[in-house]
Amino acid sequence: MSLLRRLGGLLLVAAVLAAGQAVADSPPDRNHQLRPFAVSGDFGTDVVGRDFAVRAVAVRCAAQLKIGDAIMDTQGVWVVVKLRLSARTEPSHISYAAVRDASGRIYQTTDRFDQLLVTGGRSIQPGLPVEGEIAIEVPAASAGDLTLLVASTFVDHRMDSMAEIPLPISDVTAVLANPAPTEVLAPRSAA
Amino acid sequence: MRGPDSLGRGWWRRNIWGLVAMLPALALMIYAAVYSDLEYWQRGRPSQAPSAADGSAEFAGVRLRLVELAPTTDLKRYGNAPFVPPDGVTVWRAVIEVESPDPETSPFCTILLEDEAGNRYDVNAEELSKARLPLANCRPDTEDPAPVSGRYRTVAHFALATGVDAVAVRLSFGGVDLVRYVRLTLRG
Repeated sequence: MSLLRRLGGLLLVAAVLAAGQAVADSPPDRNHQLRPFAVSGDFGTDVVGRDFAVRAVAVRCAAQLKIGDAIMDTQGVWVVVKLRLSARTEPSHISYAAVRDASGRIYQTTDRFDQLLVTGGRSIQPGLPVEGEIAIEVPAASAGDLTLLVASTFVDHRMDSMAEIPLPISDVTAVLANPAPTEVLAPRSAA
Repeated sequence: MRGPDSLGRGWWRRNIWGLVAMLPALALMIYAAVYSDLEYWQRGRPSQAPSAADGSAEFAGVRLRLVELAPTTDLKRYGNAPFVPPDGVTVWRAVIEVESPDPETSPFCTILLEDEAGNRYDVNAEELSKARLPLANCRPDTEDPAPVSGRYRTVAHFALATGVDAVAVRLSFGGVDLVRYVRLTLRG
């Protein structure tokens, strides 16, 4: 075998190894590969995930919340979403709810008061849906283009379903001009 | 790539068996890559432990038998007032007889109800949170006298949508066996 042919073989092996490394290094990375399965649906319809279904029934904005006797202000705006949650074939908990704005920033439900409906504190049985409201603080400038995200997983959402529902919010300036406090509906059976 | 060899064969003819061998080699490589995940998934899947012909089952060191599975309306609230479930909800009660050589050391269990469509339900659902309910954990009730015979009953309550029928209960003993469960049905 001539020297040139041997050199060609070595170069070919090196090229294959380099190509393999390039494929391994190229996006999407591991976290992106294992990202949640997005299940999209319209506002007002049931969006069905692996072990739950969620319907965004109503949405409103407020400058203040009234939780018990406490009034809660915000530097942005409160987005209050009424949800109807159902379990599919076995008891389920919803442990994550958030909104994503147009630039991809995520805002989770506030922890300034208990929101058991979406923090894993409410067990939902099949056939026995639960209704209630959740509240999320967002910058006023982001409120016009929000997508609701709901999952039954708490922190690690990889390889599981996540519902995505666009929220029909138009103008929040009127809400901010008239900061009347609004109450947040506690979870209740909707069977 | 060289030209024809002394027998006149081109590159493809010379390497045909190597190319054919690549297919099973590729299949083996993929199988080896997913084998550990597949085995882990299969070993973690809940599986049903065998039960006897009379519907009872021996599992986790105790003998279990379902003696009642029916809707109930006689629950009480704390304070003894009658408990009325939310609209559209029917309360089901399962009574399981447990026979243990030593009730003091009987393992704790988790009980699920199964309906005719295969859906599962937790004991003591949120819809029943205002009712006074037993713990339903396969242990002797501390309010009752200690069972002398080694035989006692554990009672579980479930919330189902009205119109849905329950058909079985599933019991698992996480402290004894993480993946197997016992499925009990009523036998005449």
